Amino acid sequence: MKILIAEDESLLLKLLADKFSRENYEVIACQNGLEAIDLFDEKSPDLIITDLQMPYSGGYELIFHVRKERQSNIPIIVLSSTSVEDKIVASLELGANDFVEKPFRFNELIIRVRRLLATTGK
Amino acid sequence: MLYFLSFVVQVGLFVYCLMIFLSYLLMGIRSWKVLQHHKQSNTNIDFHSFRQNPFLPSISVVAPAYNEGLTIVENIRSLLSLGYNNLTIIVVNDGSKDDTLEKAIQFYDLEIADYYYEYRLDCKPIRAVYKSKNRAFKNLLVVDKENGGKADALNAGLNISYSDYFACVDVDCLIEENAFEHLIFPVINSTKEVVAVGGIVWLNNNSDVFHGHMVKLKVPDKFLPRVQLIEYFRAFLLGRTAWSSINGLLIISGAFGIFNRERVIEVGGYNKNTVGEDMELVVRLHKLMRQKDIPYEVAYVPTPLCWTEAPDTRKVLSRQRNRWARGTAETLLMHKDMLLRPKYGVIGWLSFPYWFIAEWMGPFIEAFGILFTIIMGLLGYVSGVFFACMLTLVFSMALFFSILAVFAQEKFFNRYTEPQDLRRLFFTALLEPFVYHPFTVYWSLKGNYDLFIKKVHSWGEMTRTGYAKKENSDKTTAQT
Amino acid sequence: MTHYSYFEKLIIAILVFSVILILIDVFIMVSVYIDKVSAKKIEQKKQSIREKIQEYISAWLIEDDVPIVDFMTRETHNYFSDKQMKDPLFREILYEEIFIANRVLLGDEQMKIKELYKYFGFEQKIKKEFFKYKWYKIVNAANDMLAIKALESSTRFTELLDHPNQFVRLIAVKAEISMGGDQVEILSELRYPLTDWELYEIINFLKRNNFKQFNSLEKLIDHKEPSVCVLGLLIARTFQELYLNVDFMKLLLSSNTRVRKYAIEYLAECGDGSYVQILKKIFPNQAEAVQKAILKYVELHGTDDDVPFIYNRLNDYRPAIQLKAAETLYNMNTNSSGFLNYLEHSKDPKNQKLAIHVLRNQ
Repeated sequence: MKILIAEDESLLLKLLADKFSRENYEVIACQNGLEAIDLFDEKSPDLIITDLQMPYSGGYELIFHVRKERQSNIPIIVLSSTSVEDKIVASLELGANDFVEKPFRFNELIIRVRRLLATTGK
Repeated sequence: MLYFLSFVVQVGLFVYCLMIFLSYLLMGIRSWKVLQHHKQSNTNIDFHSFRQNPFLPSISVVAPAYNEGLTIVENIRSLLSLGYNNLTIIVVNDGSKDDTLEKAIQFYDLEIADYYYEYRLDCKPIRAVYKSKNRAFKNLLVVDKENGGKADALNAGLNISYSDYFACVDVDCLIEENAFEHLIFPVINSTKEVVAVGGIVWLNNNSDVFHGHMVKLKVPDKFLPRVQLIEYFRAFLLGRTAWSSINGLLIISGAFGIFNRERVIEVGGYNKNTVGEDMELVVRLHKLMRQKDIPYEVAYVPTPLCWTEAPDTRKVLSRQRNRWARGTAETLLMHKDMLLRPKYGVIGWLSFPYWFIAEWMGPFIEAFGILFTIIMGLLGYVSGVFFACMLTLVFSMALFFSILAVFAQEKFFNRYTEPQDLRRLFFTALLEPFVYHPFTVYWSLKGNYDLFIKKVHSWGEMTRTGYAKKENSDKTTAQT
Repeated sequence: MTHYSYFEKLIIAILVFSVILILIDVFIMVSVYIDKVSAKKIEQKKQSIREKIQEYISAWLIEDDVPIVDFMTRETHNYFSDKQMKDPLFREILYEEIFIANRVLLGDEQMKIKELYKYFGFEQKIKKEFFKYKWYKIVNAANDMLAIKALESSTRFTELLDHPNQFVRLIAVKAEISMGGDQVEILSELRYPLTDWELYEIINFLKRNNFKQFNSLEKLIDHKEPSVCVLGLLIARTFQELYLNVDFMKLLLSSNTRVRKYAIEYLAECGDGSYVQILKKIFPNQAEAVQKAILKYVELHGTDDDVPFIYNRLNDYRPAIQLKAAETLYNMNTNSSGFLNYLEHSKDPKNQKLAIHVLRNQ
């Protein structure tokens, strides 16, 4: 199981990567949306966890790329500190499967990841 | 007799010199304090949480476009990626002759919308208002109108907009993703009515830009943009910061600023009869609020939020400076009734006299000084010692403020990472008074000549040739 | 030739002055340049320290049920050794990273971060900063105390409520409230006018910390400082305080625009329709924002009798008000929206366009 994590806060990225590695996932980590787009094409992960606001290119571009340009329906979880309804709705409308607001609980995130991976049949 | 005359003139020039130095020094000190306070305040404002604040005023970004077919899709994309929560993007196609509109329609899935508006401000007929069928672009409006120039396009955008504030931006400027959170802050943190907020326009020639984002800022390679960068530092960091702190700011860059929409409409929008439409608007806003006697503020945010490329050839630069000189003279003359009137407070007593003497008359006085010295020198009436002495004084003063501006940049913004960037800036500052400044004086004089003798008044002849790209797009007045 | 000696003096003065200026320039140039050169090295060092610290924090968070003392003294790894802890740069970055982690994490992980913070004795450091003179030092320290929930009741915060700097006052209010004082009591102490930003910061703070009960909000709403009154109205609206013993007539006729606007918005959301007549009467001389609020009120509480009033607003000189009025017609009730549908097919092209705009954009 490969998880692509895009998060610009380096500490949080490190924590997420370590936590998911410990849960026996293969983690592909990156700090912005553009890098994430390249890594998605290259490594074809099974799930994506992404922030919305990142330098150079945010989560929207990534979701747009995965859903519209690559027509893939792998699970995408948005992890963001925004609580603006518009932004949440926009990300879900673009095709994200789930939204987790920061600050968050690791246990909760891990369960969501597991469930999404289970329902997509992998 | 001639000797006496020469003496009087020399004393006069000397006094002018000292006055300018003193006023720059006061501005420098004031700016320093304001920048310090601003920096410390900024760390205590959570601009991120602004995106969740439902009470924030709405902003429309009005971006006029003329023959931008090659870049319009990319430009709109970068405008759409701005982070502000309550934002409408209004792109005004000012009767482009190329495929600007078609490109936008095709890429963003636009269709003609039933959009209600009135011609509250005079502008060329609006042909149609387009909206996207795709909900992801629901904040985008594209206005198609007949060609009428930049001020006309902005007025059209104002007619279309229903937001509390509107922002004028140049479509080819690079705007930081969180720019409007910063710009709106003075509005929501003032007990007075804020009619306009200006921001810093910074030069990014030769910098690394990636998909519309500033990756690494570098000092321009060519001498001309580099010397302009120092001018911009002096103007934006030491000049405008000080003026705004006493509410005496007379100009907000046409490339980047926000205005209270209803107030702008109340004063009649942008003036199409001047090339200095951005400065003229701010002056008119000051006038309105002072006449109505409402407590108000024209604020300024000393944070770099907008990047643009400076002209790098002498020809283009001379045209820009020529236009600035005309814009300044036109605006000051149009509103000369504000000069020294107690009703206009700081504007009448400080800003206007300063602009008259230092900005408008400055080049005249400097040119006169040089000419006078040459003639008197030829006639043998100037003491060589005194001449050398004055030259040293002027040079040391000019250098002092350039260095101070670069220092302020380092201390409060620290945007350049390489030591060589600083070395090049210092070197440029040393050369500026000799190899660059005389040209700016000449260009200003030429501008005044064109305005008063040749009667070149406005964009008139230029609208048909379009925005003449780059050099027209950033009226920023890097004068202090 | 008496001026000649003056002349000489003048020349000397000018020269001395110029030389001093140039010396200052040289000094600034050299020091700035040296700073820049060394900054690169420091940045590299910082980056490597930061990576190390992130490694350590991650290792600590992944451990389950290990007391912090055991973790720190375990011999197998060398996390947070005494030598490292003595490096001021290391401590500074550790401090920063702890606060970043505190901001994004919740639950167990947040508790573990707090343990780290206590273990390293950062509390003392903050307290020292808190009693400094410079306003931004006070604010930073208070902010960190608040973030890590390590406040101590002290009279210091009460004094700070009157500080001339707005950031200090704001953080003092937040601290006082989160220490469990009566919110209304604390807020009614405020004497400086509050800006919109401060109002929203306070409201957001109350929301985020789940304050729901407010006793005697009237004390805020009847406050003599208009912006505190606005704060009271905003709290009442945000937290749906429906039963207030306040003279709303006085507020609606207040000379302060913000008071009028927020009073109307409160009544629209939490009141009944008993103010329609008076609002219609005061409508003409109001600012645009107040007029929009009145239209919103009519939209929620108006009846068929108010349709002519709204219809007249379609002829306002500002299109923004016209549109708002048309929207009001659309949303008020079936009869009024029927009226808007009628306008869509009417002869008057302006009203027709207005109606179409509203109907298409719903």
